[in-house]
Amino acid sequence: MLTLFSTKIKCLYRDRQSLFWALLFPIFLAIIYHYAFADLGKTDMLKTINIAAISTGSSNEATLKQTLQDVTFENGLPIFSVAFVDQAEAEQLLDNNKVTGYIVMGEMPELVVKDSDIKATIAKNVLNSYMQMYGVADIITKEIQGESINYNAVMEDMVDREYYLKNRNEASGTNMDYTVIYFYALLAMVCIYGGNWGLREGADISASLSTRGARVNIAPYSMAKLLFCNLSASLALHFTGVLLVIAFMSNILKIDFGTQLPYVIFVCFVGSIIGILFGCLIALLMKGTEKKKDAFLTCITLIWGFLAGLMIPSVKYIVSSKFPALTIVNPVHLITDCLYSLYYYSDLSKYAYNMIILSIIAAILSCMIIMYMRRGKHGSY
Amino acid sequence: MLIFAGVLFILSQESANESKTFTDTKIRTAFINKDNGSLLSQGLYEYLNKYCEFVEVSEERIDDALFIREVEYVIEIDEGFEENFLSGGEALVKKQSIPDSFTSMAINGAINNYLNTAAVLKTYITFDNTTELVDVLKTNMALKSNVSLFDSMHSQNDNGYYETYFNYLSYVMVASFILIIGTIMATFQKLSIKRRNLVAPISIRNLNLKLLFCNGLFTTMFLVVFVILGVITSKNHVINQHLIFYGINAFAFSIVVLALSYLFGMVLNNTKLLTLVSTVVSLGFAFIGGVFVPLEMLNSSTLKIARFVPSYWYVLTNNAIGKLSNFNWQNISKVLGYITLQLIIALVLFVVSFVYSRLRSRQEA
Repeated sequence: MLTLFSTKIKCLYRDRQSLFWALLFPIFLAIIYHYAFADLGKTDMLKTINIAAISTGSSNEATLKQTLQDVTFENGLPIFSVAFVDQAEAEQLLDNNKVTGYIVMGEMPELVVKDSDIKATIAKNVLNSYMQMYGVADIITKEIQGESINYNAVMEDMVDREYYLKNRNEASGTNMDYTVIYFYALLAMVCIYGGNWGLREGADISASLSTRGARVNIAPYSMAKLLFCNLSASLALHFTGVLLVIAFMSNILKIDFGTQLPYVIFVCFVGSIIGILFGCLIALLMKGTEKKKDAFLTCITLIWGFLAGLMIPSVKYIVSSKFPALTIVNPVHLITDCLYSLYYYSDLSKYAYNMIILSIIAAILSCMIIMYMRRGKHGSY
Repeated sequence: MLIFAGVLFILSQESANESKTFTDTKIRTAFINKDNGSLLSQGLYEYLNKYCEFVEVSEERIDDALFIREVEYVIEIDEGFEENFLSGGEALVKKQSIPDSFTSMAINGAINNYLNTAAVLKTYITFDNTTELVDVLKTNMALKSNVSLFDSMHSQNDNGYYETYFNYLSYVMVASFILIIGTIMATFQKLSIKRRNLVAPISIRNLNLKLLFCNGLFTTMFLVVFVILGVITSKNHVINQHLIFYGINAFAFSIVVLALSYLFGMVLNNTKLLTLVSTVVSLGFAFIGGVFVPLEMLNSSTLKIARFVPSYWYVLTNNAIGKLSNFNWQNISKVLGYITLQLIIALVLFVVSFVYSRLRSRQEA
């Protein structure tokens, strides 16, 4: 058996062209992703907002000025970087997208923005709470007329804020970069692309599919053993490729796979097995030419990839919340979900759940292949 | 093709929903209120309505939803919150958010603002009941500054759907043309078939022209089908000047892809490789060329690479068409310039593939 295995490895290794492309394909895609998403995950990250402010000479301008300069996000980063300019300059700055908006610091401050994006909303919120602060002071002084009330003390109480938030107990960590889903789905798809190897093995072992199959079938050797050797050889090469892709992604592209690399490798291994078995099964069960089977395999893998978030990560979420049944029959989703749970969750329950389903799929595929191959007889006409 | 049409439809629905009109940026938030019937938490909910778009998410899905940004903020109010707050005990709102993001800061600020105001009011004024406090809060929190929009540079219209649709169409074109036309061309590259064609009483020029014509016919039919599909799937089924320009641009791009498919079919002449190449090239073009990820979101070094990708020029043209409000020569000339550029790329690709085919037939002879 070992001889068969090593011979098969040599056979496959000689087909450099396929080997080269099978390896190059995912690495190439990973590079493309890397460039495309270099900035994507960081767009909503906190930055100081540039704004302009126009003086109108109103009485409370000094307070507003001070407020704008003093307010910070809770991590201490100043919210605004303010440029005090005149109207014309402010408009020019806004027009050239140098600032998010400008504030006309009158009795009732006015904000002028170009787009109502999150930065503009934050600027608006700050102005709103500034006005509400005065509002409260007004309400209180009106309410407690007669009693000696220090307006400034109220204002100080308003400025001196308490923090009313705490974190929920979360099973998830702080790894929040959702662009990793693209890479995970890609890696998952690479595993399933092992189907191409399986497709060839399926055709090579079946007497009705290829001349090689016919020849092999008359050999006095157990077909099950031979197929096992062939598939193992394919798996060995394919999985080596997958490992190289993982190494490339984690070391060169610096994709974060969480801290448990052995688990990552394990799920990719099971995924590769499923890919190869699936391809083999298609070769055996599907009628039609090799091209047709090839196209079918590519199509279904791409669709699985799409549903697992290969093109738009939120598709993965939508599918899993609206059509959970679809996720069970989609190995690309299951593998992606495993990788994602290793990255995002601190416990392994989700990983284990997905792994169990993946193992069941692998078992079912193996059973189907064995059942089909068993006692197959081919007549000669 | 049907599958592609389906994917295309889903893709454009997905992103046509993204806000292209001027609205307050509301943050998708999950609000879990366990302090049932409490006026303060209800008041907070109503106040946050200005900032949040509340989304129903089951509790066990919250982590997943947050990761994928289906919700960007989660608020949980414990039982007995109001009681604790009024009695001066520890009353904290539980939150879960994307760390250090604008969205989390915006909502953090709003919640703190509301509760701080409530606390200050409570300190200075004795209220008869909670309703009174919440009412005063409500009036005060309704105070807001004036926000106006600077003359918007690009007025958005309902061409948003077409723009997305046609952008995504480029992905479908690249993926299917390389596969279909590439495979056909690869078949003609087989030596036995080539030899058979050479001895046939038909000139090479004639054969090549016929091939070109047929491929052109396929391309045109493909486009017509997908343009009609675009009109059918759009909301208002409008046929306007924009649509015509999108169509022209798509036609120009289809010529580029046709030329590219020719080249791949000739160079690779192996169907297995063509499948892989079509996947890589289509996804690559789509991601770097600004189809799946908007051009504004790509960083500058990626944009430099993107200039070598035909999809980039196609998407740029589509974006320019989307911004057209006045179809005068000055505005159109920019669009036409981009289209011409695509045609030049196509020409270069055709020339390369013809030269390659010449060189190879010499080798084979």
